[in-house]
Amino acid sequence: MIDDIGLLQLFRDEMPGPSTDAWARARSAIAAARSEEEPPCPRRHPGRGRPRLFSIAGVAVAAAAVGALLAVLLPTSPVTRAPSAASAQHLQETAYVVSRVGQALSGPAQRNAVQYARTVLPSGVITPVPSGLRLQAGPGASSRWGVSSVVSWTYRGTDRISAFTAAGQRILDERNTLAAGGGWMTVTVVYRDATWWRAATGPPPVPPRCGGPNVIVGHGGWPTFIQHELGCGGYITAGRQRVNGIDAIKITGDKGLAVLWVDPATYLPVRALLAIGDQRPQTDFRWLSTTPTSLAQLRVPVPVGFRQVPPPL
Amino acid sequence: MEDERPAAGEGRIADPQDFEAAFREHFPPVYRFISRRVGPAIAEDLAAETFATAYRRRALFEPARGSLRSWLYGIATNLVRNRWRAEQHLLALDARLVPEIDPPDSSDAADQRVTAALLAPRLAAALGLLTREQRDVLLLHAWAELSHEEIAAALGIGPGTARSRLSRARASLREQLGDFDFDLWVFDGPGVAPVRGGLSRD
Repeated sequence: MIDDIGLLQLFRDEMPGPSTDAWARARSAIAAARSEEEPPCPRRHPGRGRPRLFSIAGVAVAAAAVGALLAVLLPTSPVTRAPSAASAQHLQETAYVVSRVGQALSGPAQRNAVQYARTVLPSGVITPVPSGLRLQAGPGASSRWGVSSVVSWTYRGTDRISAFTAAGQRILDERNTLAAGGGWMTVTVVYRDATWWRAATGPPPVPPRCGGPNVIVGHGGWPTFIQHELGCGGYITAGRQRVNGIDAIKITGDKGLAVLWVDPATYLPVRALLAIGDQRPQTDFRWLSTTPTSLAQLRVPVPVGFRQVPPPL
Repeated sequence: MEDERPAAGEGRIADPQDFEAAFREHFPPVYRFISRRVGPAIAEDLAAETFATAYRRRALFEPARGSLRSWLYGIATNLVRNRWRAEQHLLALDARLVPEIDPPDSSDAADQRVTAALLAPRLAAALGLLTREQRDVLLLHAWAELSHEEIAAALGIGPGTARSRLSRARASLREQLGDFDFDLWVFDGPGVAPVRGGLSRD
């Protein structure tokens, strides 16, 4: 026998408990509430019952003493006290923003969007693409085949990477599709020698270490890369900056990402500066709705007359 | 239902360490309560806000006036009220669900779950027709397992009011479920077709 309350208790009973993100968000909100509270001020106990005659003199002496004290402490007190509270608040703000970026990059806003990224490569930078090719940024527009920019389109398990010269000439097209078993199917079209190949590649490599000389976006694209980088720690919010018409939140770091700007409305990246040695390649992001036009960008057509060749080892 | 109201002096959370302990204990059930009402997407924000609000107001919490969990559910319920449209939308979606399972033949515990799944659209529609006050009281009782006294403390109403609201809410719920036989776990009527419409109360 069950009653209406028992029946109701079974309704939506399968709803899971809080995720790690939910815990983190709550802790962040509590930390923010805590930071709103003023730190307790040291209580002073002014002498009571002193003769009024001396109180004026006392005030004058005290004022002089406080003045001297301030003169000594002023240069150091802002460093030792006020900034520590500000730093705590800053760290909490950073934790909150980083958490929201992580949620945005793994949430439905990202999963249901076609992500566009365009990276402008400074000369000399080498960019490996998932098929194993290494694109070297050329010496400039004078180079016919030197790579100047790389554009990627990503939607769920499929991404397309295209490389262009400074003059806008297409050098390479590559499409990677997640295959059953964790591997990837890759179609690569090389415009330099009018060839193309199809290859099956293994599961994605282990994510790169935090820091180090190489920065590889790799399979999983920018969302995975940015989440990995932010997970390395060492990033901090650095105010707002107008980027592509958005009053973006600026996050700075010293590992794979030198700077990341995110949209405060969606927490999705707007722009990133990679840290590759002294170079800072710039990537601009757009998150587009899934339309026939945006999804068509994931196709890699093989031009008529291009020769199929075996994939390079 | 057990009354877990702590004795006066217990359950204080003014100290940050006590608050942390309370957070660890009560966050999962409060989150789940909110999530069942408005869905997990909104629940993360509301559950976080519930505990941030509790932290700000922790000095105002008086164990003698009600249990900590009733106080927390009171904050959560106030926040959920601001998401009335989202809650109505979720109930409307559930009310339109067509279960993909067949009605059970027997009435053991597993079948009760199956029947509950079959009844979900009707329950959703019935909840959608309740007033805010009735729904708050009913779900605090059914999902948060608060006693009448705890519900009264959570919502800042008298125990008698809590009792009568709960009674009316249950009557309304049973009326919506109409032809369901709680003894036999079957419908006497034409079946379990979801109740449609009626979710426009705002």
